[in-house]
Amino acid sequence: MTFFLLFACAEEPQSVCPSWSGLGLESRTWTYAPLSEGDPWDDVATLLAFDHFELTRPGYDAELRCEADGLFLLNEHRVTDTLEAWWDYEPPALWMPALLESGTAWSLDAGYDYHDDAGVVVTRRADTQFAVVGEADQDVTAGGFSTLAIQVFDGAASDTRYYADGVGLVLDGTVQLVDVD
Amino acid sequence: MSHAVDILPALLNPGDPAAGDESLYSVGNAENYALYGSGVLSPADYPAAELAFHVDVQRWLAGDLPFLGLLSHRDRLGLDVRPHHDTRPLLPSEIALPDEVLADAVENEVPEAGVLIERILGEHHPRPTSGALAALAWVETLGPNRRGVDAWADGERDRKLVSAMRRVDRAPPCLYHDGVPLLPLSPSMRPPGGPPGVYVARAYRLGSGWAFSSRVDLAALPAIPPLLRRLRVEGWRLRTRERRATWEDVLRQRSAVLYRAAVEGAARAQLKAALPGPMPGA
Repeated sequence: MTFFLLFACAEEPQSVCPSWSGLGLESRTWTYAPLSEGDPWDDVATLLAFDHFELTRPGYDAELRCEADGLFLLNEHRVTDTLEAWWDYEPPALWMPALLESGTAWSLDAGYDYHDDAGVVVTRRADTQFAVVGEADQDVTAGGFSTLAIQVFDGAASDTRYYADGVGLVLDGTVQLVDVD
Repeated sequence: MSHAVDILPALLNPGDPAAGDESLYSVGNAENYALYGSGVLSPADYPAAELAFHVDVQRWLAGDLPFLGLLSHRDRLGLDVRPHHDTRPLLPSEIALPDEVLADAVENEVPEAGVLIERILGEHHPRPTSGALAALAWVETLGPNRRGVDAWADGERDRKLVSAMRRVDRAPPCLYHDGVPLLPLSPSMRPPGGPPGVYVARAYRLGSGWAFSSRVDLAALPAIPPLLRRLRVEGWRLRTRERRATWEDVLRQRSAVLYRAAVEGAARAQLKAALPGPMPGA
């Protein structure tokens, strides 16, 4: 029975999460507020195991996993007053590459299984294009940040999101960062 | 009649009523702490800190303490921020180890297997399958460090089967969906594919291919986050004895926790799917 209690030993790895994602800590809370009218809310990311995270906000949660080549989206779950729906990405969808710099472009080109409590079950593909289009200093309620501007185009509309190194999303077309811990 | 192993542990914890002896408090390894721990505790303070951790784990299981409330214990006891993988490769088995062989072993070697099966299937389970009984074969049901497979191996004359058991023993159980592992797993232990369905099993190398042992099919896909948190905490508990334990050590040595939590999680998912309408906070 001694073999049963043998333990392998290895170096403790550091987080491989992209630094621009702001992930990598045991738990982190970002408070966002809409640029127009509305109440702020918290995005809370908690480590589940290794670099596997759960992201929650009111009416929404998602699972994300950091790997050597980037941050991947595993699934999403939304709840509204009238509908509850799930998206399962298989294989996981690239949400953010490991290294970001001006000119970096990638595609969230992934199949997903969707189902909801209204009985809809479909398999579709998500095709969202991302491109780092420059750098910009942004002043938001949470403070001033040096950011990368990432243009996002989902086939129907485009938006520009601003990410700060070690912080994550600071500003996009509808929300701004109010606080981060 | 007294039992070396508590066969009716339903009063141990309301948060995990089907848990076995692995959920009991056992004095950890202060020497291991001295070698690999955080170093902030004196030898005199260590036992009390470990007991406090155990008490709070029970509170967390019962829903009386948030997960983040355990982190101070983890840091103080040096149970590590992240687990690491067992990077050793799995060696191939020459022959398959059918679940029926392990199920027979359990029925022959493990008294009260019909009761103890709740460690694999939870409290309210149907008639156990051979896969569930096979999963029980790897659990310490015969005393500390003594499992059904060990008792079986002592008397089994077919040594090729015993050799196959040794190879399967190294393979950590994991939750699979269509052969894709849904929990972290050492790259060398990930099978290239597998049969359809949702199940917990041990994927082991068989010749030039792969096979699945101790397979328990699930009626629905359990939510992954609570399962990972449960296993992570179980890993911290295991690390009170050995801080070099890998993630795969947790899956192997606390396999009953994985099977049970997955079965119970699948039952919750099935119930949730059967109830119409949004369930905020569910």
